[in-house]
Amino acid sequence: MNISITEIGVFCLTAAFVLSAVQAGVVAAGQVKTMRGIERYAEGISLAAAIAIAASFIILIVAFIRSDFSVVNVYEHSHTDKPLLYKISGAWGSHEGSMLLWCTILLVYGALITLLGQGLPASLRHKALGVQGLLGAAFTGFTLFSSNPLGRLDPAPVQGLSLNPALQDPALAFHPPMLYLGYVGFSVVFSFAVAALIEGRLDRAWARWVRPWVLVAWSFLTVGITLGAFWAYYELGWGGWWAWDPVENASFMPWLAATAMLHSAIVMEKRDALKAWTVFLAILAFTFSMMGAFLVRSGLLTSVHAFAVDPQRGILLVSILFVTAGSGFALYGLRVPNLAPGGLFAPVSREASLVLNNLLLSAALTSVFLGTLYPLLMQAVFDRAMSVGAPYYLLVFGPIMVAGLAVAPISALMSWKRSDLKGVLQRLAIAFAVAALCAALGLLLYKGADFMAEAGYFVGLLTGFWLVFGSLRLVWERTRGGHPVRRFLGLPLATHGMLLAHIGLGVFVLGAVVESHAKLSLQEVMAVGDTAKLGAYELTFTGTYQAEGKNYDAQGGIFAITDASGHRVCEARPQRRFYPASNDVQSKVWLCFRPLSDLYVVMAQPQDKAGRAAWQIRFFYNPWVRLIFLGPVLMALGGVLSLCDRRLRVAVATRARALKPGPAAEEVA
Amino acid sequence: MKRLLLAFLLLAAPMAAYAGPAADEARAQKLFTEVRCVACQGQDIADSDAAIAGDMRREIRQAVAAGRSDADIRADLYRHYGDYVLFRPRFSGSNLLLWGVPPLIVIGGIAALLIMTRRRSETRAYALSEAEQKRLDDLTKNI
Amino acid sequence: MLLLATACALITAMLVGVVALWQRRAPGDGLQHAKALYAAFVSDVERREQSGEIDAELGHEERVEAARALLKAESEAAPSATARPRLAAGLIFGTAAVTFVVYLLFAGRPLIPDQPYKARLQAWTHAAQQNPDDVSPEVLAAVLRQGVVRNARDPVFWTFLARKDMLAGHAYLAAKEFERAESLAPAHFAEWSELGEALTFISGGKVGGDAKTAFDKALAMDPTDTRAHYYLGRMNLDAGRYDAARADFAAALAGLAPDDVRRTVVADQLKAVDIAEKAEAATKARIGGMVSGLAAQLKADPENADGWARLLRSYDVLGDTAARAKAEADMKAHYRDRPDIAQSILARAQGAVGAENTGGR
Repeated sequence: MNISITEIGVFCLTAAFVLSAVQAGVVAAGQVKTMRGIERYAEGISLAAAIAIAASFIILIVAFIRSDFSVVNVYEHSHTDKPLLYKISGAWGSHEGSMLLWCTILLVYGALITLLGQGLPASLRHKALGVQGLLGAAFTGFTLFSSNPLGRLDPAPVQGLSLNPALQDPALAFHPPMLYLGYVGFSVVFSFAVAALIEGRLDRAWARWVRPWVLVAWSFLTVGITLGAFWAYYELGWGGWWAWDPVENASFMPWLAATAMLHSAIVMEKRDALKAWTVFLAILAFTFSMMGAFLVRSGLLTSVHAFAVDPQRGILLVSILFVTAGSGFALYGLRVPNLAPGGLFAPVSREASLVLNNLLLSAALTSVFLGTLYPLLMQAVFDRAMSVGAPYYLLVFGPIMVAGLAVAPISALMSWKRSDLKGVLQRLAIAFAVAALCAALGLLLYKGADFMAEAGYFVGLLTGFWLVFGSLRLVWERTRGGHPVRRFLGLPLATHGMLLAHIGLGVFVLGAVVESHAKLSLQEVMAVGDTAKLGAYELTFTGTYQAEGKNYDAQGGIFAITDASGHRVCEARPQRRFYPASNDVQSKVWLCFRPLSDLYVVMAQPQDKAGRAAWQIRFFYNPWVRLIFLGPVLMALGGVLSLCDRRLRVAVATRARALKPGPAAEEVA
Repeated sequence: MKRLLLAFLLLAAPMAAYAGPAADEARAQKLFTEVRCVACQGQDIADSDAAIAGDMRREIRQAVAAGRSDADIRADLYRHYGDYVLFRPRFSGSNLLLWGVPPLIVIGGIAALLIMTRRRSETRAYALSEAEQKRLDDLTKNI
Repeated sequence: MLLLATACALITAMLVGVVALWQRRAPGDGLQHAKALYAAFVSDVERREQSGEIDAELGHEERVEAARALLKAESEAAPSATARPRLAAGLIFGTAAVTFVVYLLFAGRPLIPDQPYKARLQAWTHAAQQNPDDVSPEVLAAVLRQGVVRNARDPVFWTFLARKDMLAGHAYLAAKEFERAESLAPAHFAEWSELGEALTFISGGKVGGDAKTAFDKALAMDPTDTRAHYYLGRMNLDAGRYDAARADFAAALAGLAPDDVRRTVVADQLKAVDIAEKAEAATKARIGGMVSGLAAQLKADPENADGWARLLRSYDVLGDTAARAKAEADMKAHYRDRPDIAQSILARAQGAVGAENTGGR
C-alpha cells in the first residue's frame, strides 16, 4: 500500500485555487439582492483555503526533506548531500517554489482578515475578502497551471541537481519568506483599499484598520530587504551591500510607498485629510510589491537575482500584475471624485509637515522608479542602450531624502492643527548643535577626494546625527520633571515605535554614509608569504588549509591581519568552496568583526604568480558597516512596537465586548 | 554632553587608524564607480576583476594623471563607449525626464501645497442632523 | 489510487467542516454586531479622551463618524441571512466536484507514487544484492556509499566505489576516492592511471600537472599502461609536441588487443596529430606574413601608436624575443622625445597580452 503524499499536496493546491475562486464568487453573488447573505461564507472559505494551501506548502517541504526526486522541483533544486536547512529553504529557492510561498502567505493573510477583522463592519470585511479571493485565485491558478511546484517526474532520477551554492546561506534561507511576508502584506492593504472604494466609505476608522497591516508588511519588508542586503554583502564577495540593481530597487519601491503611507495614514486618522492620497498609496504599494516579485521573472529586467523563467510564463505574470494594478487604479479614478472632501490644515502643523514628508518620499520614489525603468524604456522605444547607476541616485535620490529626513524630528515635535515653527526649532537647537558638532568631528577624521566628497560626507553625517539627537530631544522633553523612567515607559507604544524607527533610520544613515565614503579596498594577487597593506592594516598570507563540508570541499587561506602598531587584529580564514553536485565554486568571505566595522577578506580565482600558487585576494575595510544592518532592525522593531499600541487593537478589544455588552456600552445608551 | 562626545570619539577611533589614499587615486576611484563594466553583470569597474575593467581603470588613471577634469573624462568615455558605460547618465535632452521629474515634483508639490493651504474653504460639518440623531437614539436605546 | 481518492475526500470533508464550524460561531454579522462595534468604539474614544491622547473636538468627530457608520449599517442590514441549506449544499458539492475534476484533468498525476530517497536506497540495495549486474553504476555507487563509515579504512572498498563513480560520471568523487585508497595503502595502490583519468575529467579533458604525475607513476609501475600512454599523448598533442604525442599513441595502440574497440579512438588521435601539425604550420606562416606586413607599414609610417602596440603583442604571441626587442628599440627611437607615448604603448602591449592569456586558455 503506497499513498502519494505529494499528490495529496497537488490536490490541496487545487482545492486552494477553487476555494479562492469561490470566495470571490460568493462575495460577488452576495451583492445581488436575491442572494444577499451568501457573502458571509467568504469568511469560512478563507480559512479553509489557507489550511489547504498551507498543507500543500508543508508537503512540498516534506518532499524536499525526503529528497523525493519524483517531484521535478526537488530534482532540479536539491541533492541528498545538502544540509537540512538548505533542503528546506530549497523549497522556495526556485520560481515554482517561491510562487507557492507567495500564494501560501497570500491566503494566510486572507484568513487573518477573517480571524482578526471581526471588529470591522461586516460589509467592508466581506468585500475585502472578495478582493483577496480574486488575488488568491489569480496567483494560485497561475501556480497550479503553469508553475506547479509539485509537478512529477517518472521515472525519478537517481540524484538531484542541487541548489545554486550562492543560495546556500542562512541569510538567504530566510530572506524570501521575510520579503514575501512584506510584499504580500500589502495585498491586504490593497484589498481594504478596493473594498473601501467600492463601499464608498473612507474615514478615519478605515485608516485605523489598515494601519496595522501596513505596519506588519512594512516591518517584514524592512527585515527582508536588510537580509537581502546582508546576503549580498557577505556572500557575493564584492564588499558592497547595495548596488542600485533593478531587483534591489524593485524591493525598495514598495518600501518607500509603504513608508509614505504609514505617515499619511496618521494624518488621515487624526485630521480626516489626505484620504484619496492614502488610498492611492495603498494601491501603489501592492503594485510595486508585485513588480518587485514578478518583474524580475518576466525577463524584462536582467539581474543577478533573477530566476530564469521562460517568456510565456513571464508575460502571464506581468499580465496578472497589470490587470490587478490597472483595475485598482481604474476603480480609484472612478470613485475618488465622489469621496467626501477631506479636512483642511494650516501650513505650519504636524499634518502639514507629514504632507511634506509624503511629497519628498514620493519624489524619492519617483527617482528610483525612473532610474529603474528609464533604461528599459530607452531600449524599447529608441533602441538605445543606457545605464543608470549609483551616481544618479546619489545626486537625485540623495538630496531629496536628506530633505525628507531633516523634516522628521521637526515633524515629531509639532502639534496637530496649528503649530509654532519658531518654537519647535528653538527646542531643537541644542540637538542640531550636537549633531553638527559630531558631524564636524567626523569630518576632521576624514580626508575626501574633493570638496564635493567632503561636503557629502558632512551633510550625510549631519542628517544621521540629527535624526538620532532630534528624536532623543523628544524623549527628553517627554520624560523630564521627575520619574524619568516611569514617564518613559508610560509613553504610548506608538511614540516608542516612532522614536525607535527614526533613531534606527539615523543609525542606518550614519553607517551608510561612513561606509560609502571611508571604505578602503585592495585587490592583489598573493601567494603564501606575501603581505599587502591597506590603510593602517597589514594583511599577511600565512598559509592554506583544506576543509570538508557536508556537500563541499573547501580550500582555505589563512591571513594574519595587524594594525598600525603591529598588534594582531585577527586571523582571517576565507575559503573557496567546491560543490561537486553542481560543479560550482563559491568564494566564502571571511569577516573580522570590529565593534562597528568589518575587515573583509575574499579569496577569488587562483592564479600563477611567478611559478607559485597564488590567488586573487580582495581585502576591504568597511567602517561602521554594522550600523547599516543594525539600523533597519531597529526600524522594524519600532514597527512592531507601534503595532502593539492599544489604539490599533480596538478591533480585538471589541470582539470580546461584542459578544457580551459590558458597562461601557450601557454608558452610551 | 561630555559623555556623548567621549562615546563618539571612542566609536570613531577605528576611523582614525588609517590615512586616506592620495587625492588622484581617490578621484580615479570615484570615477571608477561611475563606469559600467561591459563584460560583467551590472557591476562598475571598481570592483570587477574582468580584463576589460582593468584596461578601463588604467585608461582612467592615466587621464587623471594627465590632469584632465572629471567632466572631460566622462565626455571621453561617452565618445568611446556610448551611453551604456555611464552609470551616471549625461545631462542631455533624452535624459530630461530622468533628471528633471523628481526635483520638479518637489518644487511643484510645495507650490501646490502653499496655494492649497492659502485657499480656505468651509470645513466639513461634524454634527449629526436632527433626523440622524433621532435614528441613532432609537438604535442605541437597547444596546 | 483508491487510497488517494479516500484521502482527498477526507480532506474535502475536513475543509467543509472548517467552513461550517466558522460560519456557526462567527459573531461578526448583522445589525447587532454593528451596534456592538459602535458601543465599543465609542467607549474607546472616551478612554482616549480621558487619557489625553485626543482632544474633545477629535473625539466628537470620531463619534459622529462611528454614528454615521452605524446608521449606514442599519439601512443596509441584510435580511438576517438565514441558513439556506440547499444553496449551501449546492455550493459545497459544486466546489468539491470542481476541485476533483481540475485535479484529475489538469493538475494531478495520481498514478505516480512517492519516491523518497531513503526507500529507494533500500530497494536499490536489495536489487544490488540480488543481481549487481542489472544495477546502473550510479545506483551502485549510491548503494555503496552507505558503507563509507563502516569501510572507512578499506582501500579495496574505496577503489571499487571510485570505479563505479567514474562510470556514473562523478569524476570528482572518483578522484577523491582513488586518492583515499592510495593514502590508506600507498604500497598496494595500482590505479594511478585511473586516478589520472579522473583528474583529467575534472579539469575538463585537459591533462594537468597532478594528472601527469599520476600517469608517470602508472608508467613507472607498468610501462605498457595503455590509459597512461593515451592521456599523455593527448597532453603532448595539446602542447604542440607532435613527435612525443605520436610515440605515446603508438605505445597505447601496441598495448591494445586487436579486437579492442578502443583502437579506433587511439587511431583517430594519431591522425589528429598530423592534422594539428599541418594547421599550426599554416597559422604560423600566416601570422608571420601579417606581422612582417605590419612591420613594413610601421617602417614607412612610424606615427602609429596602435600599430606598434599590436606589433609588440604579436611578437610576444609568436615567442620571437629577438624581433620583439628590435621592434621595441625602433619604437622607442621613434618616440624618443615623447616618452609618455612610448610608455603607454608598452603598457597596452603588456595588458592586452595578459588579458588574452587569462581569457583564452
